[in-house]
Amino acid sequence: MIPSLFLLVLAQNAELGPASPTGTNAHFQLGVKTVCELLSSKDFTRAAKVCDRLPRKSVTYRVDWANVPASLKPGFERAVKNTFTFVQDGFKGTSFTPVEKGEDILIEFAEKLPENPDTKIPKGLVVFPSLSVQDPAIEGVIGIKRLSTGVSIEATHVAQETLFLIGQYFGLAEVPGFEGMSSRSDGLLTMPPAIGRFEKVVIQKTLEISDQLREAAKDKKPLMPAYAEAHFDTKELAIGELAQGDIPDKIIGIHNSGTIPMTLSIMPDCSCFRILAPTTIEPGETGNVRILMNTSAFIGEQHKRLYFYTNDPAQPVTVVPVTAFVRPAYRFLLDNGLNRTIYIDENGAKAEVYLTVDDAQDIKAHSASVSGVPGTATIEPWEGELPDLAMNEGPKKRKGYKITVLFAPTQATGVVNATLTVTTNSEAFKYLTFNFLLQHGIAANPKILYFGDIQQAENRAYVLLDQPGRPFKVLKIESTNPHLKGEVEKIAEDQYKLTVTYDGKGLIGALTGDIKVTTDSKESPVVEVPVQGNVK
Amino acid sequence: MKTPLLGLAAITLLGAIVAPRPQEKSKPEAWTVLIGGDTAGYLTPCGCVTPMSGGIKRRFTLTRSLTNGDHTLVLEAPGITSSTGRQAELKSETLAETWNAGHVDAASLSAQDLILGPAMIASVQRLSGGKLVSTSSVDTDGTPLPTSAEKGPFVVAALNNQNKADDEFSLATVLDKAARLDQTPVLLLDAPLERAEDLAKKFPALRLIVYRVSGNPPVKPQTVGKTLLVSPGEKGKHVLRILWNGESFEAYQAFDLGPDIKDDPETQRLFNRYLDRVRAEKLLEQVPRTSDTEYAGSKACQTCHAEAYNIWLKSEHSHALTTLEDQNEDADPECVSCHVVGLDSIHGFRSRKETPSLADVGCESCHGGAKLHAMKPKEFKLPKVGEASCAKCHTLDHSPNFDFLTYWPKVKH
Repeated sequence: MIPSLFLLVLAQNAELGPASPTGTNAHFQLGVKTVCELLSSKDFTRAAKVCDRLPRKSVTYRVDWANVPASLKPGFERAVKNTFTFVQDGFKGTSFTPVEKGEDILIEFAEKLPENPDTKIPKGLVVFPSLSVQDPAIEGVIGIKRLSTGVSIEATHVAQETLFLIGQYFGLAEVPGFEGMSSRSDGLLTMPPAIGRFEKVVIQKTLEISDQLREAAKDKKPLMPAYAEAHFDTKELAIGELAQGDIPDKIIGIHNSGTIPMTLSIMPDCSCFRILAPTTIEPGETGNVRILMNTSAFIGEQHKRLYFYTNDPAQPVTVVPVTAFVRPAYRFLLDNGLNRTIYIDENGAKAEVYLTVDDAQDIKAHSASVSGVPGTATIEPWEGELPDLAMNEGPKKRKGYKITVLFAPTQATGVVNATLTVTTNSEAFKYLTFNFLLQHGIAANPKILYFGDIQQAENRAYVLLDQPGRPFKVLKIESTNPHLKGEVEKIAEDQYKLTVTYDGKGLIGALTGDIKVTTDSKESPVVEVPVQGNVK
Repeated sequence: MKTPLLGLAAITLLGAIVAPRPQEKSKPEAWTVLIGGDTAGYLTPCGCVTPMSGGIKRRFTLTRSLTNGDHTLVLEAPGITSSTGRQAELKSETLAETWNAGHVDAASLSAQDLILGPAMIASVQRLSGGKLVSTSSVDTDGTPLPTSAEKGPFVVAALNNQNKADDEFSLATVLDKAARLDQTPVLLLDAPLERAEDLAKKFPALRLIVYRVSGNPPVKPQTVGKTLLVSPGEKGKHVLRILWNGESFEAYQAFDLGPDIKDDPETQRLFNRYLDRVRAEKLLEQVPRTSDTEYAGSKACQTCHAEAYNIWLKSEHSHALTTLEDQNEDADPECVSCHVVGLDSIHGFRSRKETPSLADVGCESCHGGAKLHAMKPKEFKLPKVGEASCAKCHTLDHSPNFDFLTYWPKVKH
């Protein structure tokens, strides 16, 4: 607070200088702050010199090729030149001129750079920003040998690092991921060059601010430094275990010890967050960011992130990881594990499903109904032991409801879907649904034999024909396509393996046909299995 | 003098060729390990709202760009499907084809995937070019899956946590062999972090465990001894990259499959074929109709609610089905359900031709069936609806940045 007060006294009558926008890097924000400090102390000569290191549209550059092996140099040279041209074309009004000395951007190379302490691999680039007129505004040293094993970079990596250095010159903050000029990697990542829309907006703004400061220095106009300084009371949020549907309510306090209001924008990576935050925090004040997390739509272990963007030169972007474990409100379980296929015979079929409810939830099932296939469902309270394979849980005591579903007999053969709907008293979980697969007669699994892309060569694939609990015999196999042939192998009394062979002699393009299997099954005397594929 | 010297030189040279050379420890080669997967049926981001994350088309663009030549191991974490039915099967087969086309080296099954049944798992294995690995014993109807996969210095095992004792016995067998061959063991695990930590303690020879987590990958991976524990998150939204320097894993990086990443043309071709198959099988016509709500169609609302109708007409909702038609996704029931009125009702949308007044997101998508209200408006009033009616379609997965206060003004009436 003392330096801020000192400056306030120094520049009692001075106008407030421009504030750096979010999305700018520490170097740019420090440059703006330094120029304003010099202007406020009326040191206009030095202010003008520092302004010279702030971004402008006409940029000079130099590349020092001393450490680049001769074999790599031609490719690297083309990469650097093409990247400057790419930015010039992509951001109208900019120009990049190679010079022998006094450059704004200096690119150098080193065989290998020191290790990055976070990743334990050699750094791929070291950036030296400077506000001194003796130095380039941005000096970047590109490491040629990467990773612990010293793999050599290629021209495409040089292009990527050059693009990043240009972004640094224009004041862009580094962000993780793929953000055109704002992202890079110490490894061997290659992505096509791009300038993001947001990057263009930020660059436009940094150029405007730089011109405004140059104008102020020229006109000897005092300006007071405008910067924010953020202090987070925590930089991670471990919410712990919750019941599904809970909405935890957390607060992160941010104190601004800078001279201007701190602009704050927060981007969650999930719409499950509701963020109530001030958009600005006055100097000397603390703002509370209230974070509400809606857990109704997901279960299990959760890892989310909140991105805090501020105009604090030292921490333009702060990522706050959020962790939680959400216990499911309810689960539908079967006592035979995951098999949802129910066989319907001439008397219909019966199925039992267990609806288990978390202790913390006040979910009471009122009624149950079935759709898709005619049937009825009855519901009764239940307590017992069951595993939950989908949640990776072994058998354990659970309670809830046992739902008995009776399906009416059907004449249609094959597999159809049926849906069980349970109505509850809960507003958040009012209708709970569970899907069955109902089979009558013989069904092929998969329903269509799909070869995918195949070559003009012999190829085989199979489907299973089954009629659970009802033995049958295959009497005849026919094919509608002369290049496809079906053969069956008995697996069990109620199951056959139908292998289809493509002879490799068909034309290039779509492969289609039907394999007709004649059986002694009363329900399915003929089973047709379509065959699809693409001969390349 | 010349001859003996030449003879000596010849003997020395011969000796150099014939005699075993002293063992030179060659410099270990760097490998890139790319981990995607846990697709759980999410072949593509829904596409209706940006910025969506994930999708197989972006995933394979990214994996191709991160590939370090032959020295790349591409892994798919468990989680093929999350549902049953024909569409789930078509998705599984398509995913398997992309593994083959996208040079995946090893993929694994979750316990939930076993719902597909042995014949479908065999189909997935065939279409993937044999990429499925299961160290846990899995019923594939007499065609067992390999218990491990090998590439470069790595051996990849996969457990789906069905029976802990059996799983650990099978894993120990793979690790014994790996130790004999001086291989680097990697495990694809269908279980949360807790189980991964447990296995890392029991089997310290494991150098990398890929476990499952809901949400995003953790910001920083954990280590237990020399074992690195990582997860690509859920629903195929991320790809992890780790580097193997011959002795340890390093440089962990998680990439969000955001809209900046272009679609991979080969995967796009396979995905288009999937859409064609969904259309050919008429899955839209087979959607279970669980309600008998009757609808009037948006046009019927115009007479009395002209102002609201005009606002709707200018909104994105009024041409929601066109958006799908433009992308050839108008036959996909999973997409169509949120782009029309009443797909779940026996009186709801069938096709643009059969039920034109129920195409697109209409008045009744939010307000509920209004047939009775349209006939006797004073007798049958429609209830007031709020944010909850939006949440049916604007879910976290389909509309990640949905905020009622921001979106409501766009359709306010």
